[in-house]
Amino acid sequence: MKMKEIFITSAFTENSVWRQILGICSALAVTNLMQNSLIMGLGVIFTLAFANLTISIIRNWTPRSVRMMVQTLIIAAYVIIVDIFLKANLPVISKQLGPYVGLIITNCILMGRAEAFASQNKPLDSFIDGIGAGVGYTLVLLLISFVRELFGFGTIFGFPVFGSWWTKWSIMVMAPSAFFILAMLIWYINTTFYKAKV
Amino acid sequence: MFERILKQQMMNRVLYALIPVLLFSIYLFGLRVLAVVAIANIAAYYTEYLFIYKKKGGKVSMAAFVTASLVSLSLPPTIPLWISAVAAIVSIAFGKMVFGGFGTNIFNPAILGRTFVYISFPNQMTISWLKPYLLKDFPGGFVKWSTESGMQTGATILNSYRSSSEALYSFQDAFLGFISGSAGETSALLILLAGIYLIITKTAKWQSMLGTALSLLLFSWIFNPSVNPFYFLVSGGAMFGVVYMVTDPISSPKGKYAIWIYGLLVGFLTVYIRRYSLFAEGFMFALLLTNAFMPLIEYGLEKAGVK
Amino acid sequence: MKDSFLFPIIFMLIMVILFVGILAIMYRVSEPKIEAYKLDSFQRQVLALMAGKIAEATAMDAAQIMADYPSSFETYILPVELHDMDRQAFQAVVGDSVVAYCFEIKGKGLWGSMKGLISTTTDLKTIVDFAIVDQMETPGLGARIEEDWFLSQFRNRLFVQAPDADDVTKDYEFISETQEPETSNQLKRVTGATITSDSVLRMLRAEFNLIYRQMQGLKS
Repeated sequence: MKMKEIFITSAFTENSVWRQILGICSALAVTNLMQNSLIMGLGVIFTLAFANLTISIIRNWTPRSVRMMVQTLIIAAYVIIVDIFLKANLPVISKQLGPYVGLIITNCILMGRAEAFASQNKPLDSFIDGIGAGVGYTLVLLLISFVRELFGFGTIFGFPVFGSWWTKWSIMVMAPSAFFILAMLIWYINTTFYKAKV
Repeated sequence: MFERILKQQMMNRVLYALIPVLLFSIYLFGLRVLAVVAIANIAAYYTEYLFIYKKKGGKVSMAAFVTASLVSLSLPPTIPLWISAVAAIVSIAFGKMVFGGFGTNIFNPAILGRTFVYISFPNQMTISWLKPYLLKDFPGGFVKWSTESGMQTGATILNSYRSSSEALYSFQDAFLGFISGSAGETSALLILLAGIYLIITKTAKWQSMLGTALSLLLFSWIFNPSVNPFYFLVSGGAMFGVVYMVTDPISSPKGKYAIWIYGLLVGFLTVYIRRYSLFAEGFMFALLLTNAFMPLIEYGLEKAGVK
Repeated sequence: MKDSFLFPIIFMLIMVILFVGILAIMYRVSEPKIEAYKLDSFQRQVLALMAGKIAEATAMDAAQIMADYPSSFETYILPVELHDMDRQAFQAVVGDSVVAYCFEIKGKGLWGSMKGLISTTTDLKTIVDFAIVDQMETPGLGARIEEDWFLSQFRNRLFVQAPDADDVTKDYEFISETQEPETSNQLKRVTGATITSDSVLRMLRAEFNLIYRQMQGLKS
């Protein structure tokens, strides 16, 4: 039961993007296509879960003075593993994502969860927390890219939804559109689920 | 539907000042222009209404219609009607209401909406322009839906100047307005008269108009010495922007010095963007950029003790 | 012990060795696969650009030749050495005669560099086929130079018109995407991406000048 709570908390109620406003930069960059978002999300879930697990396992031996360096090192290692894996096995997607996979390391969510959760909790709990935070992040990416791909290309996951009459909104293809879609998403969620005052 | 409209004398006067421009535009390009403007106004009304209908005593400001008319008149006459509606909705929703409604927006809403559709739909916004009816064609567009038969593609004054550095129309045509271009921006003369009306009735500040116009002239003379700077002023959307856009009472600065800096910056950036960037028309980007920095500049002026 | 001076250093050292070791092993294991994929997709592209000409000479179907990859690549395609040029070049040979050339070309786009592949006829004057391999243009606008309608315009275009002049290439001009070309030197531009379209043409002309000279030198 406790696992489930940890997952729900980190994925939804304390979602990194819409509650803590972390990881925004990559939410802007890769959300032009749903497929890219999904792969990016899976990469982040993987990195978060295993980085959290590893950091949590060694937390009792890690000296406080170097803990940030160790966390960065571990996160970086997992990011590079994801990058190499994509290059070797999914080269087409790797080319599309370009430099963004490497940039998972700059995703603030990773350091955030490592510092806030993994360095103080048991390995398995941290692992679940990592998956939860990753799922929450992926959910946001998918929501944004759904709007962007639908308007920008008239497709969902590459399948044409609208016919050829659809006029493509090229602003949706460009990164700036993610700014206001993300803003609207956060606005909507906060007013609907958290009863924030407008 | 009209009982929930907030009456604003000042905004009414801007609307009066737009009537001649609208009529002239209909004459040039056909009754379709009227439909484009009407759709934008309806869309703007309902967008603003959606934001305020729950609030007790909330009213749709007259400014919404000014914004919608301005944004729709700055679109090409061939624009699909739904894009006109999108422009109006974005103007009102993102340009004004998300900042808190009338009186609190930092960006000029009409320009924001136009920029949105300009970037979204480059095909519809920059490719096809209509050849206007001339004076001898009376009654011209008043009895026609559109002048579509005389379609002319890909060349406004600015675009053709960029690609071939040849002037497409004579100065006189550009000044009087018998040229192709966005619906409301063709006639520098009518816009000028409207500007004088706005200044006399104290609806708009003369400082921002004059400041921007002078700055435009100065910098186009510096950057493009071979071209008559007045030609640049009367071509494209510059004149329309100078009279109707920079004078927006909410997003333009209030201070005595700030207003001149504002004009200077808008003029400089317009010419700079027209000259060096990808986009032929620089006015809207210039105004948005200036809008973004104005609060900072005003704050700085206040700190420095000049008001 | 955890707070001593030496422990953090040793701890960090062990962690670095451990993780870098894992990465190094992983990289070594997948390196051949990555390289093989890169080479494979490049060779496929080269073959595809010349498949039409090979098909003409061998009376086979172009699709058939593509399906026979990699054996067809080995059978028909040979590298060409270019001097002082950091570009790869290939020739398609059927029997004893060359039927087409293929060159790697490079240029500058709006935001960054572009790379393409062109195949030409044996007299090096006409483009047989053209593909963009790498570009960093605006997605949805400039990136549309990768689309087939744009690239196919260059097929069977005469590019070298004046072999003795300083600039050997023919003049082309761009017209709007919605217009239909009226003369043989008009090409449709990608809407909203004037600079990118111009860059493609500029790259082609510059590279044609280089390659044509170089190859003339090689032949004589």
